[in-house]
Amino acid sequence: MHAVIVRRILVGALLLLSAVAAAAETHEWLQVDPKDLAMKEFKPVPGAEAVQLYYANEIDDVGHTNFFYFRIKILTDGGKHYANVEIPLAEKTSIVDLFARTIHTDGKISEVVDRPFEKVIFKGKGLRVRVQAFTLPQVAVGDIIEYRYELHYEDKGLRHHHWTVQHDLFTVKEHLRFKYDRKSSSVRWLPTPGLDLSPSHDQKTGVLQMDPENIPPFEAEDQMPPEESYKLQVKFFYTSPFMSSPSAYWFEMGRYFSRGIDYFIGNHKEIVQAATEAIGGETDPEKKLRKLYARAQEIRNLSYERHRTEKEQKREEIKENKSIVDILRHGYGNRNEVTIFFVALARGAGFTSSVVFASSRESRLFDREVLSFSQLDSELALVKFNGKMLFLDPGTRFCPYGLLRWNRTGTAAMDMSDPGNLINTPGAADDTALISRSAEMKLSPDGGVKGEVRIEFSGVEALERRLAALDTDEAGRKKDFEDEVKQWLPANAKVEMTDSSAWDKQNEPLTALLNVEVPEFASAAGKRILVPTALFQPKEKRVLKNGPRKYPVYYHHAFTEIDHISLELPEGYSPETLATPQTTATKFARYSSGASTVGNHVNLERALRFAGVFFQPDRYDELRGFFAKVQAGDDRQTVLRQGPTAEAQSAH
Amino acid sequence: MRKKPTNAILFLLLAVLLPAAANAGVPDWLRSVAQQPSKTYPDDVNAVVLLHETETTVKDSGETITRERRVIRVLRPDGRDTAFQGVPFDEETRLNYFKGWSISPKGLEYEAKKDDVAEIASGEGYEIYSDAKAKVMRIPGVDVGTVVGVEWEQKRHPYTFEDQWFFQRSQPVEHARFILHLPPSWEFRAAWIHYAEQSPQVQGGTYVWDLTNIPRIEHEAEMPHLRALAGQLVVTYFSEKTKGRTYSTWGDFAAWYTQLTTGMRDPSPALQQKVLELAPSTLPLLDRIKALARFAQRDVRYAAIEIGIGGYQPHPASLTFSNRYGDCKDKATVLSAMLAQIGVKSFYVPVHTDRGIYTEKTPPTNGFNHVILAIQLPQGSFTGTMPALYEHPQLGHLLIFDPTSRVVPFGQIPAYEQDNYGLLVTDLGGELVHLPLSTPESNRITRTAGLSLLPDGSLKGEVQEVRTGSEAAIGRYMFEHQTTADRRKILERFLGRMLGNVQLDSVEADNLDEIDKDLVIRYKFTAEHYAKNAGALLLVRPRVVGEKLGALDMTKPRHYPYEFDAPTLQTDIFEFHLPEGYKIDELPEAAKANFAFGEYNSKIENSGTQLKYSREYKINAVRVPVEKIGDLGKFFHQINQDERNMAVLKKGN
Repeated sequence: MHAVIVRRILVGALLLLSAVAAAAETHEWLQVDPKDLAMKEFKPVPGAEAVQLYYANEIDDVGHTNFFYFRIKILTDGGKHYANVEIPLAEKTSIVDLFARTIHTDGKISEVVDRPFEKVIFKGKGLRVRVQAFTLPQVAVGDIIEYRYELHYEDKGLRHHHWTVQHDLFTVKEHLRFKYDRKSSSVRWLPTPGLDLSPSHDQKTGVLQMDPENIPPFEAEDQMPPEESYKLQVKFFYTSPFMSSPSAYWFEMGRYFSRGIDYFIGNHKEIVQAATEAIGGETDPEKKLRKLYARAQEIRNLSYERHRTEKEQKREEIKENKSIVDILRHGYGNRNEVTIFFVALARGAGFTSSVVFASSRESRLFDREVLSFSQLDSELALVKFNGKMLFLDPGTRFCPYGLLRWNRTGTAAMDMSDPGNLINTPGAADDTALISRSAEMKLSPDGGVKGEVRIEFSGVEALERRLAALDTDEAGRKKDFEDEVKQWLPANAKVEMTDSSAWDKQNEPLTALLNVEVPEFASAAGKRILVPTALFQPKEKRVLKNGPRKYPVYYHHAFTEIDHISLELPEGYSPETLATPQTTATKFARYSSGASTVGNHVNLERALRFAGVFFQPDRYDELRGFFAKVQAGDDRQTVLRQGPTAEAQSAH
Repeated sequence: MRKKPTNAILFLLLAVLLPAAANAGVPDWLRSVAQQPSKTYPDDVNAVVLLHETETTVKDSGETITRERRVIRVLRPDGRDTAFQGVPFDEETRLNYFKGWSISPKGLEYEAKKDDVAEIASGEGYEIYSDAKAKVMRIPGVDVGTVVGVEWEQKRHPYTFEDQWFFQRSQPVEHARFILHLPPSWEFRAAWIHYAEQSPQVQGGTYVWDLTNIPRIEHEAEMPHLRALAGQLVVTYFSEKTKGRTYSTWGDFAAWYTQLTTGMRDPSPALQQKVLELAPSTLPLLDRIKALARFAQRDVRYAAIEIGIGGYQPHPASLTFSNRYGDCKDKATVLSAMLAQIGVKSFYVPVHTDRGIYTEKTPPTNGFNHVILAIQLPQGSFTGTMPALYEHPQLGHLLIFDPTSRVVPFGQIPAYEQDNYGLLVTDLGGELVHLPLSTPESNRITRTAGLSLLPDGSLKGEVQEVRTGSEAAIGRYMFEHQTTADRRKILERFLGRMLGNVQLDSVEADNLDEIDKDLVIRYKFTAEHYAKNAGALLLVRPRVVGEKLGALDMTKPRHYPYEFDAPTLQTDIFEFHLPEGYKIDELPEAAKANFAFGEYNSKIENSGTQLKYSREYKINAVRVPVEKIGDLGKFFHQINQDERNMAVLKKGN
């Protein structure tokens, strides 16, 4: 008996050793191509400080390991920093078989012999974030550095892995392998759109593999959508047999959450009573809804207060809302609870209303193929009446009836009364975000202007400022406002806000009065003063550069800017030429500007209405062309001249 | 010195992971301070320090216990980050305890518990490893009106016996107290920096300094470093047992540093061999020195490993040479060792990379964060002069050289070290020396442009920019780590700010890596709608590129001096070829603004078909004192006007 056990142990040990040997064979250093050693520059990326010659990532969910191999050619002094390496280590993860070396241009090799340093980046709350850090020795321009290691996971659970295909450096060759756990569930993979490669799949062994070549580094572009949606990678998902397709997944998950919401709302007479009280004697359906909306927003919205931990909530006797009636009783809730409360009130008043889970497009764009319900992270209310679908955002503090916060407009969503069906929330028109500026200014002979400016923000523009103001006080609000207006004005502008109103009146425009002095607005040219059409400069982000575009152009929301500037001329000056009127219109935007004269005043008018949010690269030239015309219009000059002059001419 | 993104991640981790505990034994000393009546402060003061008390007890063994108490009242929502408090520690400093509490305006009391504290690594930049850590605490219940209190105690075995007490910060301090307990036979020396000298109350071996109503240091653009302005007390302790680890003079400090570095410059055979290769005796001496300096600068990569005394003590030159990496003091050490092989002496110079923290008045104190080298150039080894030359009465020609800077060549000093003070550590002792300030003429940008203006207002241009000295270093920093395509993007952004809708047709940069030569940048561009049509007029801004306007806010009174990076001389010559049929109708006037700290002159000339705009911008001093801020405002105003002026062209008959 004893001999049998010993034999089994020996056989086991031998098998283990052979497995280790096989693994070691697999993970030897690769041969070095003399051409790589001789390389002086990398032609596909002129001026590159380094190029990644090889990158490998082999994920093994059966053995619970993750192997990495990096080989980098150093091309400039600046590229030597790639020799400083930090490997992040998650909890219950160990690093084994870490090898690193420098291969010099003459073929000599300097191995890293010291053990890496382990840095604890964060330790607390039972969590430890560590990195293993080391640096490669004797690195010179022309050398190749390489290192490889294997992560071992103590936790044998399944993970959502991904292959990083696109790196900071141009990568010549990659080897990506994923051995998934065939016994546990099925696996799906999702390459980033734009990656024209698909992994090979050996179902017998449960191995996915891909060997991309010549992958350029990711280069972000100005004004592009959230970058993470565009970096090339392949994501993997384990799925249950019941949710193996996206349709099945969204349906099952939607149904699960829908049931949860219905259970939370229930059918309570207290809610019906509250709805009845809120409506009062109102009979018009829309007015009823407005009253219910206002009632829901009376709930203290904790999402817009200082973050409190569980213990702080306990100390301040803030309790969990376990049902819709709790929200009513407590009089507080988070933004999602306020939304659900509104839906419950609407239902209580006889409306067909449901909760909608929307995907906030602030930090990423929704992808139906990514099977993660957390993408639908933001709740809205939907009311169906008069044959219309009315989306409402009562959970957002200060959000007026009928308006949605920008990140929840024109984005994917799921109506919980129709689980599985992905819809789009409505986009916002340009008049839902309005900045209106009027100024009475006096021009001095040296080109400076001084006067009073009145600014009105409506819709989304008001909402965003009201929300931002929650994090500060009156003095902070004043400073933030003055700083923002300074950004719109030429350098050295003096701005002082003298009054503001309607910070908490969400149905009214947010208004501010400011004293403004711009010492250098108009330019001098001998006896002439040249006055540009726009006092308020366009934001830099709207200046789109020349050249080809790879990624879409993305704006948070549509907007409108309307400016009226009345300029009192200095004594002895009169207009010689008025700025040419400029009008330009596209399918997505309109712009007009011009100047007129009344007595000793020149009136400068400007209107920009922009209704686009997402522009594919093939529309880049059209978009850029539009903003170039806006800039040209803003820069048009009205010419004033000292002394008596002929009647002002329009400069046609 | 780049910051890693880990700090932002850490903050998020702290915010998410550190919960806040409640109910606690708020100590009486905190309650007592919290009950003080509130004073009135300007609207933009986020929080006020009600008490900052540091108590240091020095034991006869040299072990030092420091207990610190801070009480802060949150005045504004922006002051709520007072909830996060931290204390550093390392291998030589044990944290005995770290506690925190808060008292809300309604009287609710909270105490931070174990779960509210995290440990973080505090090394940054190119550090591979450092044992510097910090405990960070999130104190619960912090909102406007809350009084926050923290207390911690450290047991230290210091390398040198001194306390640097920074009592003035960006928040006002109502009461600051420093208490010192010294054993019999120990002595101390107290020195005040940026603050009037105060006498302690004395009782036996206990000394107490009490300060009240210390104003905050406000933020202003281009102001000196906070430590160059804020009040500070330096207390140094002496006894028989601290010999060699304490200092009453800079000479003593230098002796400590010498002892720390003894033997570190001993060469290895490999190092000696490399010196023979790089600097054969057949070369002139200055070329040999330059070759070794270039090696330390370029071939020894910056990578810091600092453990314990390693924050001050360099690694042996042989090790740094073998690894080809090290931090600033390692690079200085390896160069010093190599120079010794060719018979050239060199001396360590510890400095701080922010000008103004060390001045001729600074008492001996250990607050340097960088090490450079002073190379003794033998008489006759060079001709002419160099911006980095320091003439020492005894040691002769000392060339200040920073092997850590990748872009500042031999013979020049990085801008941040100019007009700064460093400790010259010599065999005989040491002294604080005033590092040279370069002349404007040694830091030049000479920009010339040939421009063609078209009737539709478009402008085509070819620009050449030649940069020297610190301006070349700025250009190289700007283009460092960039591919050719990225350099193009940088330039496009630069031009886009001034020219609007611009297309960059070509970019070339010469001598980017050859730092001994001038940096030359050439580019061609086309700017649509550059000149503005107004009827028969064409309005053109002669100052096409380059903005000299500083970041001075003249809407508020200025409290602190204004700092420029380095003296500079910048000239622009832009020649316009005018469109056919257009004549010059009116030209802006020449600009002239001359002050002691800077000069600006521009002129515009008309030769019929050509328009020539030229200007010169010169900065003579790196610091403009508060009394001269009005002049600086006038200076910038004139520059701004000139930069915006327009020439008027008219379609001729």
